[in-house]
Amino acid sequence: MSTPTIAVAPLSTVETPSRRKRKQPLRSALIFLSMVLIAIVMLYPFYFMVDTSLQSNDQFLHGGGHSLDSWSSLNSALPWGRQMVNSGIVCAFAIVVILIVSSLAGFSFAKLQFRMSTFVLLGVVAAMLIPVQSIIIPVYVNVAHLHLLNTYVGAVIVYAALGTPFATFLMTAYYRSIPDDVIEAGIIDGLSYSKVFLRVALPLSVPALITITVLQFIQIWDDLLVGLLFLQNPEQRTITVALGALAAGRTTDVPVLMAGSIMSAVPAIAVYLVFQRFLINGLTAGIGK
Amino acid sequence: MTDPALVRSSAAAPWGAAADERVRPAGARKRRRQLWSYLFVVPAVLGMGFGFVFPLVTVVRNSFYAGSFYKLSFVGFDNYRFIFGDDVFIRSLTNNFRLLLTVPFMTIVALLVAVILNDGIRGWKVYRSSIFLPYILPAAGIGLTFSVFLQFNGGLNTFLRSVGLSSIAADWLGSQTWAIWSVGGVVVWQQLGFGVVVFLAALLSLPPEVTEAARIDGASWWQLQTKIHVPQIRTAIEFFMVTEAITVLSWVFTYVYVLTLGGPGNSSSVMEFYIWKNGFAQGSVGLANAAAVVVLLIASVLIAIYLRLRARPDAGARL
Repeated sequence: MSTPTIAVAPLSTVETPSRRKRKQPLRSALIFLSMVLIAIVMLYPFYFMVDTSLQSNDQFLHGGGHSLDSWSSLNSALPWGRQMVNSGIVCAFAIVVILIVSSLAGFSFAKLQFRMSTFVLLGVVAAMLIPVQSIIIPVYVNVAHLHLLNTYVGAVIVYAALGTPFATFLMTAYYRSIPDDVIEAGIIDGLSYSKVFLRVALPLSVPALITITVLQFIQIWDDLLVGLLFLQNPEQRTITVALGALAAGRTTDVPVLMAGSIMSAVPAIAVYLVFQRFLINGLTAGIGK
Repeated sequence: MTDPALVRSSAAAPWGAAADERVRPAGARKRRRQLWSYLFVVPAVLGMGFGFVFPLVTVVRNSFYAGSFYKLSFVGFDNYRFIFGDDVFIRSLTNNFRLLLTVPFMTIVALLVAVILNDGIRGWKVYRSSIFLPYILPAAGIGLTFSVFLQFNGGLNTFLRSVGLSSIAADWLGSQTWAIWSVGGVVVWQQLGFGVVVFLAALLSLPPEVTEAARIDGASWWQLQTKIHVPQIRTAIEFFMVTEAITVLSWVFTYVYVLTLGGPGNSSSVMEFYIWKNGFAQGSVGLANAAAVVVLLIASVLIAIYLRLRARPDAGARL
């Protein structure tokens, strides 16, 4: 497909550097088609979800028609109001703990550097990749010993402990990007390390804190496993766990399940749409150039 | 470690006594800094001790014991002997390796999409957002939707039949052969956007001069992508592949739980599901712990690769 004439093409100054101008119709059409195909594959399940939720069970089974039946009976199958409050409580407290712990540790790793700090940081990175499933049993036993099973406190502790490594990694990377001079200037001006942290470093790291909040919110909101084990009472269940339980119970009312799935996804989608930039920055921070 | 304060105070040496007084606090400051650094890191270390170090040690130790959560008796290697003779465990292990095959597939698709979006397609941001959307949705809701969508008379087969492809309409979740691949397909659907976002970010950060030089030298579109762009984002690609390998090895529990519950007849069980089923549903904690150690051993190989990648000079946030 290479055309030798391009080799002698004049060095035009108006050409935009990274975007192609010369369009070949066949390739454009192929690209367009493949993108449309991918968009359909990616979005069709969403359409299916919404469409199914707008049918009654009878309409779903025998085809045809739409109604709001499933949405009006959703609350009795899945008390989503209460469960969203539960999810919100667990998320909020866990995130606060994660933010405090990870910003302190990140500052220490990046700017104070104790002996062996590189070694400990290596452990942090390893921890963020460890399969949760393989270490959850001892954690469960520990939490049981503390009599914190089926309490918000227990779930918050577990979520916070599991979320800390990645958050610490991000905070460390972020504080590394702040010049040492900024911190040193504070010290020379007579601030203690705690005050430099609170008044200089922390305010500078607000974007990183937002990124962590968004990432952790989505992660904890979406989590099934920890909730399934540590919040077994229906009164404390998060919405994701309640949905999982409803599904595992093999409820036959499919439209209600779809309505529940949509409901449980709405907060995560909303956060994603509002904070997309922070989310993508956070996810790509660890990877590549 | 040159403390700027120290440099400044020794430069002030000609003042004699005054300089000495200034040097000493710098040494004290170094000690104080050490003290603070420990204080700052204590909460994280405690949390990780509780959440990772202690559980890790316990899991390895308890894999040599049998019994309930609270009462254990030593059985040596019996747990390991049992799980490696257990068809369900072997099936779970094999299934995890089957899922590993989705990693190259989703890498290639994500790369293609990223390369095309990087080419300046109109509305590329909208594409990126919609492809990324599944990644942030609760896996439980996704699994639930697909558990209906993939039923024998579900959305996918209805679609296939309507376009005359009824011959390939299978019982995606109810067949022993297809169930695990259906799980894999849903995982690909959800993770694809992550790859696109990561690759696109890497592509967008490439220096435009190199691309331009190659174009002037007569590189075709395909050559430009395969010889110039993709090699430059090699590190990002490798990171993604390692991360996804860890994902399909150890983060697919929710999908299996909601889509198939490991069925039909354990045919779509994975190691995580085996751990959960034995540890929590059936109370064979010893077996669950032994399986957990196997998962950890495989994961540690991948984690080691990940840490090696991180040591590369072009690896984003450095350690």
